[in-house]
Amino acid sequence: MWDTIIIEPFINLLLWISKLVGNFGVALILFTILTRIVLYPLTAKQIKSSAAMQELQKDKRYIEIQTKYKGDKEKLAQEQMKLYQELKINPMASCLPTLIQFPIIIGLYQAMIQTMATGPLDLLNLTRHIYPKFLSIAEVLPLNSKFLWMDMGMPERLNIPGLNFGIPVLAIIVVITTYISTKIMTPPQQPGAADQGAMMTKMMNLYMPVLMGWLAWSLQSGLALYFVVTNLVQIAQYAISGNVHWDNLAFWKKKPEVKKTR
Amino acid sequence: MRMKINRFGVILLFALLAVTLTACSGAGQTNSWSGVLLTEEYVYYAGGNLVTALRSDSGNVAWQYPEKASAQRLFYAEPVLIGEQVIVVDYAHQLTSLNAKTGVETWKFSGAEGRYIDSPVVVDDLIIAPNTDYSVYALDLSGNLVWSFKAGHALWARPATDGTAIYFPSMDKNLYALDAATGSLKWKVALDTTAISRPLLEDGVLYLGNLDGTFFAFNAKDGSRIWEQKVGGGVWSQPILHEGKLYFGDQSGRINILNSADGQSVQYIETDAAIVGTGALLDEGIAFGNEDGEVILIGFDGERLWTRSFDGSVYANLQRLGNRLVLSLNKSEKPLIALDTNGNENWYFDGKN
Repeated sequence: MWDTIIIEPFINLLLWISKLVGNFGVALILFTILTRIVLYPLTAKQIKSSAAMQELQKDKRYIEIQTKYKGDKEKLAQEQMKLYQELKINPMASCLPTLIQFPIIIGLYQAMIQTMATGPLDLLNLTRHIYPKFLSIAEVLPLNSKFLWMDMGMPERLNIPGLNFGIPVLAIIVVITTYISTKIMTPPQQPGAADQGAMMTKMMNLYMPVLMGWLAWSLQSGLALYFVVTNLVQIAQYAISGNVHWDNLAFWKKKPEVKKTR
Repeated sequence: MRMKINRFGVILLFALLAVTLTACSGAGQTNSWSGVLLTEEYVYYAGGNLVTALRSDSGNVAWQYPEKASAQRLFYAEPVLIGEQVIVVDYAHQLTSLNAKTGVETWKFSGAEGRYIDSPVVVDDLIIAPNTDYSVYALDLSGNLVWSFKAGHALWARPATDGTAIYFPSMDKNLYALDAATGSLKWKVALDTTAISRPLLEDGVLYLGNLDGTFFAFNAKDGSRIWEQKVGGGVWSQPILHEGKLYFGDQSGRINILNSADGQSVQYIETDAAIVGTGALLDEGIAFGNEDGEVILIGFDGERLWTRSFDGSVYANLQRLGNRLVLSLNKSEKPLIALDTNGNENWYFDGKN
C-alpha cells in the first residue's frame, strides 16, 4: 500500500527525470526542488501559523495570562484557549502541515534509496517498481550516478593529491546549511519566554547540524545532496515569505538577556 | 536536574532519529544474497559481515573471518579457492587472501574504489576481479596489481574465461572481451540493456541474458551475435548447458530450456516466484531455487521431478559437489542448508558461530 501510493510514483518520477537529464545527481536536485515546490502551500501555511503564534507571544493579554495563572496550569490552558478563539488562531495549524509533509518526506527519502540500488536485492526490487507502460528497464538503467567528483551511491570524499585521506566536503556543506537554516528559522527569543523552551531550541540548533552531518558522512552521497538541496530550498522559501531571522547568524552581536521565569 | 533530563531527552531523540534514518537508508542491511563455495573439506560461506568455513561433512565451524565483524565490510560474493588461499571480496572495496585452512589473512588489495558484487575469476596466475567502480583489476597471487581496465559502467558479474581471454558484461549495456594477460580490449558488443549475469563460455560460444529478458549467444572470437531469444523476464544468472540445451531461470519465475544451437525455446516451466540464481546440475536433472523458498528439480526433458519448500528466499546460486547440494537462503533462520541430492536436509548453519 505504502509502496504503491508513495514509493512507486516517486521512484518512477525520479527515474523519468534522470532519463531526461541523463544524470542521477542532477535528477536528484531537480526532483528535490520540484517536490519542495509542490509541498510549498503546506510549508507556507506552517510559516504563517508559526508567525501568528510568535505575534501572540507579544500580545499584552497573553503575557498577562501567563503571569496571572502561572501556578494553575488548568486555568492557564483555559484562558489561552479563549484567547486563541478570540484571535482566531489555531495552535495546531503550524503542526498539521508538518505532520502531512512528514510521510511524504519519508517516502521521498525511501524512494531515493531504492532508486540508487547499490546491491543486487535493491536492483531486483527496483525493477519491480518500474511502471512498464511508462518506463522501460532499457531506458532507465544504468543510472549515471557520477556527479561532479561523487558517486551518488557511495559516501562522498574528495581526494586531494598529497593527502592520504578524503575530505567529506558534502558532509561539511550539510552541517553548514543545516546550521544556517535552523538558525535563521528560529525567531528571536522574546524577553520573558520560558528558559526551558529557549534551551531546547538552542540544543536543537546545535544537535541537528551534527546529526545531519553524521548521516551525510556515513550514508550515500545522493542523500547528502538531497539534504543540501532541501536546506537551500527551505532557506529560500523562508526568505520569500519574509520570515528569515538573519540576525541570529550574527553571533558576535550581544543577544538581549533572557529573563528567567523560575 | 530538570534541565539535565531535558538535555538527555533531546540527545535521545536525536539518537532515535539517527537510527531511524539510517535504517530507512538500508545502511548495514542485507541488499544481496550470500555466496557459497563447496570443496571436499569445507563449505566457504560469505554471508554478510563474516566469511565462515564449515566442515563439509558436519557443518561445524572451522573458522570465521574477520575476527571483528563490521557493518561496512559485507561479504556476499562466492569465495574462490586457489591452492592454499581463499580469495574473498567485500563491499568495502577490499579483496583479501586468506589461508584456506585457518582463515588467517595473508594479503589484501585495497586499490578498488567500489564494491565487489561478484567473485573474481582465476586465469593462470592472475586473479581478475570486477568492481562497481567500472574497473576490472588483475592481480598476481601475492595481491600486486598487474593491470586494470575501465569499462563504461559498474561490473557486477564474474567474467567467463577460456584461459587466454576474459568476457564480462557491464551495466553500460555492453559485453567486453579482454586479453587476460594484458587487459587490452579485444572487442566490445552491445547487449541492448544492462546485463549483470555471468556469461557461460562453451565451445567458443558465449551465452548470457540481460535484465530486459533477452538471451544471447555470441561468437567468443569476434563478438558477433549468433542468435537472440526473448524470455519471460530479466535474466540474472548463468545458464547451464547440458546435451545441447541451455537451462536457466528468469525474473518472471520461469525455467527456460533453449536449444543452444539456434536459441529456439524447447520448453519453459512456470514456478511461482522469481529465479535469480543459477541451478545445480544433478544426475536426474537440474535443480533451481526461487524467491518463495522452493527448490525444484526438473528432469532434462522438462518434467518436474520434485519440489522442496524452505523458509526464506533462494536467490543465491545452488551449489553441488558429489552427493551434496548446498542451499543459501535469505530471510531464513537457516541461512545455509546442506541437502542430499534428493533434497533432504543433512545439516544447517544458523549464520552464527
